[in-house]
Amino acid sequence: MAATLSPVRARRRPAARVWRDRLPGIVMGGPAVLVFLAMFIVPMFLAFVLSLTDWNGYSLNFTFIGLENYAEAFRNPRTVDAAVFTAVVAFTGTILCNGVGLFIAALIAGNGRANTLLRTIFFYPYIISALIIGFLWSAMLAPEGAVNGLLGTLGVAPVPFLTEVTFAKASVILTIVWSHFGFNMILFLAGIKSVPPEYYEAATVDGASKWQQFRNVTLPLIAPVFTVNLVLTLVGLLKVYDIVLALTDGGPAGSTQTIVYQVLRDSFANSELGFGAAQSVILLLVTAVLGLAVTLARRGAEKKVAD
Amino acid sequence: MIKHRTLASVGTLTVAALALTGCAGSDDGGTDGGTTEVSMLVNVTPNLTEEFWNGLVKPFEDAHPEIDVVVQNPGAEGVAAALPRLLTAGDAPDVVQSLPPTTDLAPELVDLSQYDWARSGPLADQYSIDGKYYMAGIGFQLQSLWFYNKTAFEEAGITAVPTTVDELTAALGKLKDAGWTPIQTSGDWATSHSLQALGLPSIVAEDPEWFAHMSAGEATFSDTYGDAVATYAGWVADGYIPKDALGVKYPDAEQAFLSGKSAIYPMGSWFAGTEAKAEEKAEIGVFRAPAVAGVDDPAMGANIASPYSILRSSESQEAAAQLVEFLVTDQAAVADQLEVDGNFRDGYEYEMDALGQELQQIVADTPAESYTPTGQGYGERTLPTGYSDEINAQTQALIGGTAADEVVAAMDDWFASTAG
Repeated sequence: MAATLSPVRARRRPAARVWRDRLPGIVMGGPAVLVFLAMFIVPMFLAFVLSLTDWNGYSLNFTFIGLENYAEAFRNPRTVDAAVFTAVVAFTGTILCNGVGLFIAALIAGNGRANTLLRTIFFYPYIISALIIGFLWSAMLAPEGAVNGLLGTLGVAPVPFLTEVTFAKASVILTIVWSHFGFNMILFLAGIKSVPPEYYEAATVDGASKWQQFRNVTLPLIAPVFTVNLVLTLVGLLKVYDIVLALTDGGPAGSTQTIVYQVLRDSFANSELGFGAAQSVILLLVTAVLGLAVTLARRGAEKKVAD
Repeated sequence: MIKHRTLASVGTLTVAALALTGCAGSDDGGTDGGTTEVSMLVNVTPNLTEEFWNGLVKPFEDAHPEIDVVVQNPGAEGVAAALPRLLTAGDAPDVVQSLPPTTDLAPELVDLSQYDWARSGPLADQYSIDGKYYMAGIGFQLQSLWFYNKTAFEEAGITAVPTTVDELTAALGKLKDAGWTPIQTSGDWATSHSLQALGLPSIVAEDPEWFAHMSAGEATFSDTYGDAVATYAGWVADGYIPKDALGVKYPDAEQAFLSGKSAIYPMGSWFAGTEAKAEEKAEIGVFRAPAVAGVDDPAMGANIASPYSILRSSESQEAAAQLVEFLVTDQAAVADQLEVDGNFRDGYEYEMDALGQELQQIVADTPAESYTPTGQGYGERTLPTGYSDEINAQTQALIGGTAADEVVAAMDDWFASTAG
């Protein structure tokens, strides 16, 4: 093969022919590249430049202040607290969403009608607006809400779901998990359904139990789905905002403020667009690094499937 | 070199991509066929509908056929978020409503000092910056108020409304003993309203330059606000403020008080608008937030109701000024605006119930120099950016059981890192 190709490589193709060959790719791919540059790269670059200014959102006479906004982001206790809580939400939420999603997907992977209905029910919260979910659970978890009313009838004292810091944080995370795990479940279901049945038949012949089949056949083969689920959930939860706004409005005592909540407060309520942009850039970098890290960490598991 | 306008425009869009965005209709100002178009960016709410705004300016348009007023609705985005975007896009309106001038915004606004109606309007001096008047408003939104359930006061044997903080504390004790929830508050932004109603009447009366002194780092939170925080913590410890209040949403708190489930409700005068519309309600009165004993003239927290400003970029500043003059001085226009949002102004009366009349009397009895900002402040009386969020969070911490000295120390630290 190499021997037959070498004379071709040795001959230089005329430049005109090279460009003629490349032209279709340029024509067809060019617009997409331009849109990508205009809609993503340029705004991101300008947001970075903006993060180096003290722009208040009104005057065009802002000044460049170097990395001061970035230093302030690490000094400001509200931003630091919000970043810590966002990290807790993202990591805990990612584990729970994927854990619950996988568990439910494994339970209802069969083709029965009941399973179809259950898939619809479990997926339903994901398609409801996050704001509606926040207000819904806010009403249910309020001191005189449905949940405490139910607990009261059972003789249990009211639980400060939204009024005590630890409970409020847990309420935010569990509400997010409730609203999001349906998405993870659907992806896991698609992965489970794509596993060839012959693998299970072979495992059954070898005497493997259902748990062993799940652990040694299903899990390895849905490794790519796992990676996608982990990255999408992690990235999504790093940006969580609307549920927090509707459920706790960042309270009590600012304990459930997330980083995006802070970005919007600082940018618009406090007219600190430069500072808001700096926090956005940091969030973008953290998100990119974490997404990449998860993808790389999962590469080994995915390679096994490919092999 | 990237132009500031380009950078600012695209940057705004990028940061705002996380937020809800709406579109304000935008028309070029200027003269068209002998008619001068004046665009006015307004907040559209369930009370202040587009229909209301168009009806409000119609008499002005009838009297000035050469001027066409175009009402701009910023949609869900709201005026505060829409204006920066419009400014940076070079598409700013001629007039903006509901946005009080700040030192950040002032360079973009027309100095209205030449107009008597701007200099002599409600809170004109309080909102001035460097002696310049950048806005004119229609009336007052009173802040330092305690609404009370008259039945609760009767049952608790309280025959006169409290005139000092000590009397207020004693009244709360009597109300609790009589089986009432003494203070109705809530989570969200409203939590700190009660602490500010307790503290500011004394603090600002004793130091009218309190905002300036705090911003410059010449006074400390602990020295000025410490007693109020300690009193508040005492109220929490004594059960006058329920610990589960933080789980109550603002509208639910309002309804709970209206329906007679609690005795006292610290809130702004706009509550009277809700009360007036309620069909079944408790008998409600209102008293001015008292100061500590010895302070004869308590400060009264107040915001301007519906401030109007003219943008410097406007090509129709003269016509815009005529429009604003009409909106803030015409008897019918002012009364209509006051009524629809439950605001007040001495000399501009509309049909109001007993509670509204009590508030109107408070406005009439309050000397102009007693008015003070609350929260972040306004005009030259402003605190470091983020104060409103911080005081609200710390008030929530107090209700959650954090000790007063810890809260005061946290506020001192916050001022130390932001003031000066």
